[in-house]
Amino acid sequence: MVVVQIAKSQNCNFVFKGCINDALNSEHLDFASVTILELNKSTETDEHGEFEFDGICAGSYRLKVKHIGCKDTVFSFKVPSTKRVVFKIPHSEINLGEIDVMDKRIEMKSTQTENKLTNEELEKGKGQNLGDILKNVSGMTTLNSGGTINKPMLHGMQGYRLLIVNNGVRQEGQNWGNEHAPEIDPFMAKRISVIKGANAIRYGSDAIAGVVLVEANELPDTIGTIGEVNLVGLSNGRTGAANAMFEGNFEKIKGFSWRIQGSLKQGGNIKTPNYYLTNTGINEYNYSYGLGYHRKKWGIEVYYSQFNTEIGIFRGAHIGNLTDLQNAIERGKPADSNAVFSYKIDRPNQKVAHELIKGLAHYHLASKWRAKLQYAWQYNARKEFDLRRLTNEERTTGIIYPDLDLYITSQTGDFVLEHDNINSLRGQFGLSGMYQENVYQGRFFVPNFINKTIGAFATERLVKPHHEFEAGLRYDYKNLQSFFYNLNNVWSNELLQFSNLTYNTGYIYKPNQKFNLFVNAGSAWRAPAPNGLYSNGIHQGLASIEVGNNQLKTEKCLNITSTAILRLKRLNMEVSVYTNEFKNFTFLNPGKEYQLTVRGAFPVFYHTQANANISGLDLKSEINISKYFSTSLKAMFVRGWNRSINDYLMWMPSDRGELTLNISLPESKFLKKPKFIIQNQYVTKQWRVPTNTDFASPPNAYYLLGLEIASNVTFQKQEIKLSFSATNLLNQQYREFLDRFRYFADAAGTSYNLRISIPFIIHQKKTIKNEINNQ
Amino acid sequence: MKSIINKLKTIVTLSTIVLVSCKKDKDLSPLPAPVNNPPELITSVHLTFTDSSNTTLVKVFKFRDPDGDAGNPPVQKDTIKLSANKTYSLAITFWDETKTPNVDVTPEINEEAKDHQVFFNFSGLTINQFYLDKDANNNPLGLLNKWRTKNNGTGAVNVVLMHQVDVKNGSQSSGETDASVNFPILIQ
Repeated sequence: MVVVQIAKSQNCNFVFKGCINDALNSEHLDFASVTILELNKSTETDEHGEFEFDGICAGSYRLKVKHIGCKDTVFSFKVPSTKRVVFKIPHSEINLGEIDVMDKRIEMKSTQTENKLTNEELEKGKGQNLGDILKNVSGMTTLNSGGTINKPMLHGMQGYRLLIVNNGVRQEGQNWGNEHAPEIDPFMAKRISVIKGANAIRYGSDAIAGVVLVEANELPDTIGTIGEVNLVGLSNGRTGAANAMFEGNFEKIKGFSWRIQGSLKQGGNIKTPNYYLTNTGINEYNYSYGLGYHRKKWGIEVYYSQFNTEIGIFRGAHIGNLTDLQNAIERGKPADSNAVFSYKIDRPNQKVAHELIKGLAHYHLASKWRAKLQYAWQYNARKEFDLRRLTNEERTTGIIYPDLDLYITSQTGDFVLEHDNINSLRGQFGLSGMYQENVYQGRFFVPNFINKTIGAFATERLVKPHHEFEAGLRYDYKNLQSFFYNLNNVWSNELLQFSNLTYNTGYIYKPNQKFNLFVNAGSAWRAPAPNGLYSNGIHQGLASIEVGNNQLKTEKCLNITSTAILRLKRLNMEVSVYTNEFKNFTFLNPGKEYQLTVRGAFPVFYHTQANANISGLDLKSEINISKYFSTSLKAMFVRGWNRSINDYLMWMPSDRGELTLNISLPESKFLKKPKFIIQNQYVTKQWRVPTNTDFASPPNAYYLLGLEIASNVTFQKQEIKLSFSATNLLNQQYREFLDRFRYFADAAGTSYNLRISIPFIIHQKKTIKNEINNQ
Repeated sequence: MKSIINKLKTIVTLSTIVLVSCKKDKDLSPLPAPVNNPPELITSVHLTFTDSSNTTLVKVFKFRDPDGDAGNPPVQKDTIKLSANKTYSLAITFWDETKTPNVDVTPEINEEAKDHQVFFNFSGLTINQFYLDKDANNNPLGLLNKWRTKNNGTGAVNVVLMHQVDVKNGSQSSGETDASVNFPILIQ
């Protein structure tokens, strides 16, 4: 039963309150997710089943109610005419429909806020890579190798310190390289969020910075077949991308649902304001499918995805020794001044394939207990080709061997037991294991290894009306056996074992709807990575020798994060401060002497450990000036300090802010939600750099202007989402500190971008729609 | 409640079987050593000087780092010892000593002559150097040279092999360095 009360004040300041009860036994349903679809506003019911929205304008809306074990239910209401409604929502197990809605993700609000991308942000990022899309999350930047390789970075931490979970499975690839971007098709992703705290413990102990969850939508539970087509064109690089997705639920086989999705992308040489960047094209094809079969008390799902990419590496960034690098820096622009546009991808380049197969089963043990079992197999093949002389064999056969050739196969198994509200407590318990094999061919950089890990975790959350507490505990054991040629060229191996305990505690103070305070403290640890232990060689493109250290210890981190959220009539604000205190923070420390080779002398960087601290502040605020104007401000500040040598940490983002002005344009019969957006981004100069580590002084501050005009166009009942935007509209010449190619060339110039999204329904049976009875 | 516990038992047992069976290891048998040899490297530079007034007088000077970049330091760094006021022809060869038998990489450089050039940077003394070979575009290559020595003295030469795809223009500052070796010189 839902009781909705509307309290009237000003035109756009209605309060919409309600209470959700079980239709059968009148029990309050807590943790139900309630969303006003038109406004994309969500909240959760409290332990009395109550929820409240304020600042609602007059109009017609639809409300979606989600709860574990329930079918999603949508009903319509009008503001302010609806005064009181009676509405039934079936919940208890006896009343469960024939088909159970399985993986209704328990959107556990953590004591650290979850940073989720909105649909608009996802829409706006279509055709970009995952790293670029993730930049919309507050605190997130990317570590780039040119315009096409972007590694997500949260609070200055990336690579092994930031865990990416692809459809519930830890993404396992060659994560050690700065030029190894995540192998995930962004078109597949319909939900992208960043989590920290006890919630993140479930995915591993090594998520020092946090966990990025990238997920497809849940398989449909509505009978019918629907689909979506996306088309993207970007003028810079003359990039085109297309994606198609179909999903459905059979009427004949009850509980059987499916989805199939595929995307293609091709781009050519990127243009900076003054020149083209030779060999910066990209070629990508990806596909995925999912199948689900859900019965009353159990369900199974299978998911498969494949990611294939070929990325050209900017020719001018390919260097042989330190002199070449210094020449490139002094020249200030690429040597190849006559570069033209081309889609051709030559050496140097990367070819990467990633395959994932996942099976998931769940079972309702009792009304409040569920068990989940998941198994996943992943295969990642990475081939990197250098621009070098071909051997006679290669010249005659035409088969060119990659210089770096790596295969990593990972199998993961997870078992999770979760319980719904029992005495205001909700929790999860689980076991997880991984077996991983890495094999290399060609040039040595990381060894062959067998990595075995096993972990167990438990989290519980206590929810009271104005307070919430949460605690999590996890234990992991890791066994790493590495195989490599030692200095005497003998094939040898070494076994290392690590184990550790991780904990997390959190508290939320929520005196009212307007103000929430989150405090979270936790630990994390990360065993040294194989490259840190054993690498020994020239890092291509960096003109430096990297030397591993097999005495590296476990990197440990203590984190405290506090977030305050303010929700007022015209102002929404979120401020987050955090500090990470590291013991054995692993970094590359420049040595004092150069190493002589046949290519000249190279600086040597040693994998070294130190005590370090990374702290910072994220700010996000939104001001609704009027019905038509709103503005938002985002800013981030990160400070990294190496306590052992009293110097800054390398590759920390400089302070940056983004001011956005949103203008809603008047709607018409054909145009729905038309809007105009002006985006201003300002990035300061990073002067906080360690001494003797960087090859060039940090680039200057820069300002970027972006514009977007977007609308939903209705044409003969078919809705089409259209967006036209311009990035770097002023064709600003700039270089970003976090771009490893900043030594060689400028960043991309203006790009005009067109995005079209067409969602369509092939056939669909009406969902249970409960119209509200006005009383 | 009892039934829940029973169900739980079954599930935990089942999942333990799945988890453990995935983790079956192969008695820690070492993973195979890589089969494809790494692509050819340049580990050594050989300079062969022939006195043009007496072609039986041949001197060879070497720079050798047989295990390639990184790893152990170079094992041989010869000093070029030549006579004053003489003309020598100089042939340069580049070798990969990580392979058995050692591979002469010079023919491959010759094959891609239009993308390569050898440069000489003298310091401390004056030696006149002339290119004797050319690529298909009539640009100098530098595997064959003529050196004319002057007075007695000491100095050094930095011999650089540049790989210059699309950017070969007679300047040493574009492209990437394939080899860069310093030889001390003694003219007596």
